[in-house]
Amino acid sequence: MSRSTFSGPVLVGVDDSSFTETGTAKIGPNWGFLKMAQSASITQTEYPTNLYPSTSEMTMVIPGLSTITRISVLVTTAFTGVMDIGQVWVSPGAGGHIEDLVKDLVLTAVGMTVVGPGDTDDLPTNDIRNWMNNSSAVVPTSGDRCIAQASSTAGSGVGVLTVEYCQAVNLEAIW
Amino acid sequence: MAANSNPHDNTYNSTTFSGPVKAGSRRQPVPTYDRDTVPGTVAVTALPNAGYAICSQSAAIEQTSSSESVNNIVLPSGSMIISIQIIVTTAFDATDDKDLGVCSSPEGDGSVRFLGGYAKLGVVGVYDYGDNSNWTTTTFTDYYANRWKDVSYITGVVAGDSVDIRTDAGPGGSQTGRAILTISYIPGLHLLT
Repeated sequence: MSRSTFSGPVLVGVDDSSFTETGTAKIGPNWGFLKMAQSASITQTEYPTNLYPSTSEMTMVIPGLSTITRISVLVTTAFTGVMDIGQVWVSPGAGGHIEDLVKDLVLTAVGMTVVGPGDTDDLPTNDIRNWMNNSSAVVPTSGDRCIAQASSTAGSGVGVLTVEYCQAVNLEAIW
Repeated sequence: MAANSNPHDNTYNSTTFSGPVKAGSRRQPVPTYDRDTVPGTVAVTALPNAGYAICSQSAAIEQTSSSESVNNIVLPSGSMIISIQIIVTTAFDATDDKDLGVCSSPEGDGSVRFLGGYAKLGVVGVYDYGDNSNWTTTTFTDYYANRWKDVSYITGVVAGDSVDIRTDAGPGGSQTGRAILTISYIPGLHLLT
């Protein structure tokens, strides 16, 4: 299928929409960011050195300053154990600093699993910032990042990992 | 726009693309990189970072006794479904709680394949169809999952053909249930075909 590709984020809306704010007529933009997604097939593989190397790393690089809005796994063969999902900034598989996005995700049922509060409530200190591309330890904090995953045990689990995000929305000013 | 017409037709000015929309500053793969055997040899900043725009289509759904009703949702070949949302505005009351099933059907083929079980929609609210704890049949099997993974991964689909989405309200009840069905998907991934 043919594709239309853009370098920067895609926004939809107009610059001069009319609206009322606290009783005052105003004109301003109403555009919003298109939500983007990247997907990768994953298999259940245990990596004792935390989240690298990972089979998903090569195919999922999130552009800098993007905010992750949803992470899901479509499980076609059930996993055993739990999975961690994180990100690296420097080079896949080469070590360096790795930070978590999701801890101990349970994928024991076939079907769609969406990451929720119970999968993100035990992240290391400040790692929740990773969802907004604000690394707690890596400088620069605004660079591209590679998604990584690893299971707690080896097994036959198979699925599709999907990360949804708003490209380059840059929430640093308000986060 | 007339009531019950296709909401995708012309709500207001739109920009339409025939293929998927991608965005990212780097689109080309690194030909010499093998992610399995030589990890660590390429910087993250050299790898492609383009992603797909997520698309969605919505349709009004009525609780009727006729099965496999046609609605206005047609998904491009090879799409992956990432969520199916049902906003119930009038509660459903089909026999045995078999309120609504969502199916895919090859273009030009009368047969249908379910994307899950019958969802219980007995209360007004917002439902995630992928939550199989709300199905009358609770098992989300691999054949359902593979149809989400690639909508073209069903018998009878000709390569490149779009896939029609249908709904099946179970029999019985007052048949007054009403809802908005929204399917979000990534077009053209072709993960299985």
